[in-house]
Amino acid sequence: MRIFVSHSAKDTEIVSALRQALSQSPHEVTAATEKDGPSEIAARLRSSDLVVACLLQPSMDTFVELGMALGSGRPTILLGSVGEPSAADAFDLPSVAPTGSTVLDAQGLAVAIERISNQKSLVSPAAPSQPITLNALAENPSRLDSVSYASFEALVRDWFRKTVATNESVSSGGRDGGYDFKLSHEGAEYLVQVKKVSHQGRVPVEVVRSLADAVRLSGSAGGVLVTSSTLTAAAQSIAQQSQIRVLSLYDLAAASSSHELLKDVLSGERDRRQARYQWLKEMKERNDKEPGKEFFIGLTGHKNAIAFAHHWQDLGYVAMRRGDGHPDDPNDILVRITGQGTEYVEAAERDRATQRAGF
Amino acid sequence: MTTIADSDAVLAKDRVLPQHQAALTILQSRLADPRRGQVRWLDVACGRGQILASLKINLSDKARAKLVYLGFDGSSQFARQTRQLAESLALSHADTKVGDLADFEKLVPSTPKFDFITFTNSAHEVAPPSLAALLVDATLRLDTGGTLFVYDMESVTPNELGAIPWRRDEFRSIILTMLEALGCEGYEPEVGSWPHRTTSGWNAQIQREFMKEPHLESKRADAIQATTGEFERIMRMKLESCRRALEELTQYGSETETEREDQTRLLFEFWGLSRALQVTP
Repeated sequence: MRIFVSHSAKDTEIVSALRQALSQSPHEVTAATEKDGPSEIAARLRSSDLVVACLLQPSMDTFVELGMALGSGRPTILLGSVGEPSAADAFDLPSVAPTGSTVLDAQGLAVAIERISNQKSLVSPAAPSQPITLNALAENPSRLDSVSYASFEALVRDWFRKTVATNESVSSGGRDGGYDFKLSHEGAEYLVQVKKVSHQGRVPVEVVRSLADAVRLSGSAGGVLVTSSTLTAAAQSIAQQSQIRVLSLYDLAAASSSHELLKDVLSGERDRRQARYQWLKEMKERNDKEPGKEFFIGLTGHKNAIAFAHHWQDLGYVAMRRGDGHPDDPNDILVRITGQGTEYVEAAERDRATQRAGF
Repeated sequence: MTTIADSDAVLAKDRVLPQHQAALTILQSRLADPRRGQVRWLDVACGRGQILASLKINLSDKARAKLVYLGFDGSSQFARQTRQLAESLALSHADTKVGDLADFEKLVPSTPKFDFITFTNSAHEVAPPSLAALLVDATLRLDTGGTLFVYDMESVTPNELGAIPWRRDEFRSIILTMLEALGCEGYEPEVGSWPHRTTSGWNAQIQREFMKEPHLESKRADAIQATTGEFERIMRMKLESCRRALEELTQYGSETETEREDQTRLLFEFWGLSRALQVTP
């Protein structure tokens, strides 16, 4: 078993003491080195089977690493406890009470490690040995840290394989150059790029640009970017301009066997729906600030504002009327959100909070 | 001046780069052919001779003794270094030529032809019109059964002013355009992708035996023109998308460390493409 010891710079002795205590066992003890940056430390933690969090003189980094260990479902043993209730109590974790002697602490940890090694029942429910699914990742995004780029791509590729009809295909080619694989759907070819970034990270502009270039070069019908995170504003803008469709992890998890989502994404309908909803939401926010006020749309508004307003008016969510003649705008339309529209946005926000499936 | 980037050739002794290992493996198969008394090898943009750095270990004395090596580079200093290295390897014959890659056609004799031509890690440094002519002329210098091996990176780290890195699919499109113009429709060499720690590389092998057109030389001018046109088409597409990406970054700013690195790379790329296309940024 590979054991990662998370400790502060003040607690370095515990690493060598634990190595000594486990020297007769098959277990391997690793810890961050002085040269390691955050990504190296995260990689060490991800490649471990068990984490020992030394909380004798903890630093902020120690708690971050403890969070990563718990989030990724790794069995974790605490040395010491901090706070009330203690971290061990809060997460129901095995712990070793400090003795004041590093050697004795290490021996106590060695016993706890052997116990975990022998008793699989102590392993937390989200242990990495369980098969990871897109649904599981959507429910617990911190588990993404324990999924390699290749595994994430394979999960997404499988999703497409299961979702598209039998006469359609997912190629196995690719590997960057702008895209990972090709998808054939209803006679058209799409390039798919899968991007796993940490849940704090965002997909940068060059990823979208490379995919857009690959789409143009190949003459494909379009591109699909599947990501575990969100896009930067610049990347989002390029995606919209380039007809690159973006699918989130939540989209895939929420529509694991649905053709509709794929059809909507590939046709761009979902983007339009999202944009229309975003516009209505902004109307509600403006109404919250200035209740009942009519807002001028047209030349100075969102470029699709008039189309959006007509759409929502048909559903009764906004009221539109011609203005008194704006000097610069022949369209000259004033619009305000109705009570029905306000209720719709509020309900949708509640749904989004519970479903996280996007629109 | 054909070279467009500010890169420098490296020579790490006793180190074989993966792309050179791939090339040498192909060379090894040619040397193993008992019917061949000699194997003629042309190393285009040979630099300081990195591909030869471990040849004494890579190939037996007997195999090396069959090799006729000609290195070609724009730098007389690099070519001198490569010749000294090649001369120490007990090859059948070793020589280098110095000259602008634009003069490749004049400086490298069209006969006798070559069994193996390598062009590694340099495509991004060559001005596209010269690169088009170079690819065509190198292909025309392949003997029956000869192979042209091209390898380069999809991005250059650290960034090089003026460089234009090509992606795998872009280079594939360029090669297919060239082969079609040479009358070799139907022959589609595989362009492989090779992930590295910081970037991906691609390689292509053009094999003379699969080019059935008997009068390749008569189509040289058309092939250069078509290939140059394809380079230009792709560069214009890349320049436009590069400009759009920089516009968005100007408006929204770079939000992550990776995007900041992208921003720098895009600026380098924008300069390289603008310069090559002679577009005023």
